[in-house]
Amino acid sequence: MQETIKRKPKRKGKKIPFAYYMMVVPIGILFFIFHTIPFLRGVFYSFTDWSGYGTWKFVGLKNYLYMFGNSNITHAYWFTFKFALFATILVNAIALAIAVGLNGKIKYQNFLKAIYFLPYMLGSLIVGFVFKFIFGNMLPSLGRALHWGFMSSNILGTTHAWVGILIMTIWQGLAFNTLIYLAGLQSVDPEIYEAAALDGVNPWQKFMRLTFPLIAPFFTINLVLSVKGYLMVFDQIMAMTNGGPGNSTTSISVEIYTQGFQGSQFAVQSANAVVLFIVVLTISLIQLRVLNKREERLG
Amino acid sequence: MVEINLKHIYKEYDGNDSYSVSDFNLDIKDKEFIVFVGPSGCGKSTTLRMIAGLEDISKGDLVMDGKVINDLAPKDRDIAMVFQNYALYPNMTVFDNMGFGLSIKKMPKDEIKKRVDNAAEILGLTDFLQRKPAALSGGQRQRVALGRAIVRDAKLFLLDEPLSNLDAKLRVDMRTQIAQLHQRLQTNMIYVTHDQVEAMTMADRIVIMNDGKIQQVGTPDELYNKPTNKFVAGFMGSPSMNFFDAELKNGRVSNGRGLDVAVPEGRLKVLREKGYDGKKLTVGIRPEDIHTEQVALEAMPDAVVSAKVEVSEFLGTDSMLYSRTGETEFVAQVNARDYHKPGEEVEMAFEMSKAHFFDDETELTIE
Repeated sequence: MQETIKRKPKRKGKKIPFAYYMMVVPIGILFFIFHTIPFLRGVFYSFTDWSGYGTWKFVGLKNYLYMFGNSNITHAYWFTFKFALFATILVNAIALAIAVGLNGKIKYQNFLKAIYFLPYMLGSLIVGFVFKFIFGNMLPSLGRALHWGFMSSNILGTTHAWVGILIMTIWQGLAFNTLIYLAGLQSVDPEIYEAAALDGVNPWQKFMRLTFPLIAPFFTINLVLSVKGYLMVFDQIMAMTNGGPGNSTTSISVEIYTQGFQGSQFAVQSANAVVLFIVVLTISLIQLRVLNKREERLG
Repeated sequence: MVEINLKHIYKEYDGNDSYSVSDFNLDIKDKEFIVFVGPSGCGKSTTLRMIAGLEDISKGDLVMDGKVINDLAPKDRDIAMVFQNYALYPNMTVFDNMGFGLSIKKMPKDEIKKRVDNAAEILGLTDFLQRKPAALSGGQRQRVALGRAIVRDAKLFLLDEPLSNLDAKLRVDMRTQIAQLHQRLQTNMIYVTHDQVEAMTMADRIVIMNDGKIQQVGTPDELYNKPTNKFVAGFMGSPSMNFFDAELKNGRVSNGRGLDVAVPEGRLKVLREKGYDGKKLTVGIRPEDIHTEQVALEAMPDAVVSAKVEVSEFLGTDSMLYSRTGETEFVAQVNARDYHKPGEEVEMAFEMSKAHFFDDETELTIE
């Protein structure tokens, strides 16, 4: 026995199968080539005067300073913040309500879940074009037939165009958020609600004191992803208004795309993209910090 | 003074052909500790949940102190319930878990504090009041669940398999705590379990159920010693009663597969009067009524079988001998001093005066 122990090879650090590296490393390299390098190039060009072609020279922080003085860009920021705020609040409030409803013992539950998830499977551009048709043709026709003035014209051509985009965004955004909330609600032990029924809670107390605190982590995920997504809103606007009328619905991403590639402002819009990145990152980190603290308090 | 009457209670779930609970009749007296026991799916928890108001009653009346409360909301029934998985609010501290129901009822804060502190003291939870359930052990969580019930000062306590998630040692400790709690609080308690040991040790009266029906209601002693049918006889006691399909002939029961023992005069007389002479019946004998001591063998010479021990379990004070005589298998629980190794041939005496006889078809006890 002693012999056997002696002959036993010295135990080394646990060998990690090579296959794991095979799964991670190639994607890491591709990510670096197609994501990190372009990003770093963007950061680099934001300090130049390159217009997308031709020669360039370093201009220091000039692009950044120009950005904040440009009314189109500052307008795009205000529009984007307003849009993200409304979209985040409305999508999450409505999705939570739908999820609570779907989690109840209602009839056709699975069918309804599938229906609510359907928009998630459609591309934003497709949905955008469908809504453009609805707002541009169907609703005005209906409005005219019913002699409803407010519905007789295409909302996307008015100063309220952003509301049209918001409606479409909410419709599509609900799917994912509802799904996440539903997963959260289903993770709550039903016995907790039974105990609460014996404690005599009313539906509002049940929601505020139990359901909402218990699904706090899911609320955090949804909120962070929503804010991030809506600050970078692009497809919906390109499909529905192209930033118009005027530039009233031009978001930051739309501004970067249109002016960067079509307006010879490659360097300025690179600076804009860097700022957007920093803004999104900062807001997401603050949100995570605040919401995690809140979760700790509740959970 | 609380009296609860369950009158012809039925429970039917949508899409089920049969009743999950059928014709449940029970009168619960003031301060009584009732245990519902039975195998999984027998309807015991469903019945408890109907009493709590968490399930609708399909038919029948639930009466508390003379009033039918079928349609009363759970919160208005003046009951407290302890759930199998504790059902503590994970987002609240122990204090808030216990006081939540009272704060919902808008009870003054100092009164809530008084009650929670009192319950925490009874249950030894004073040091844990500011902790969240996740920071507690299983036993502590169970005590918080009990505490939540105590502070309500309810007329009726319902406990749904409260100990099934605890380890064996803790279960025994908590069993004693709950029994003490009942004595201290002097309230009605209905306790659901599938564990017959819990039922036997805690109950004033046991309600044993199977297939949604009450099989027998009685004290632990009655259920153990005077079971009304084969199911009750088999369910109560561990290890279970030995059953043999046999025929009564010439004053003896024989199964033609190795078991052949005499029936004492008194028992025989009853069996003959009931017309079982020459007929098939089921014989039941508890493991502890099979003996290996010399005294017993001499006292019951016509009920001795020669058996081979196949498996032998030493349990400290007792030994379980899983044995076989001919083709008949049975278990004997003997004193540990009479330990026998597997493979040994041992003479065993069946104490037939303590045997139980059941009708072959109805499975009812022949009395």
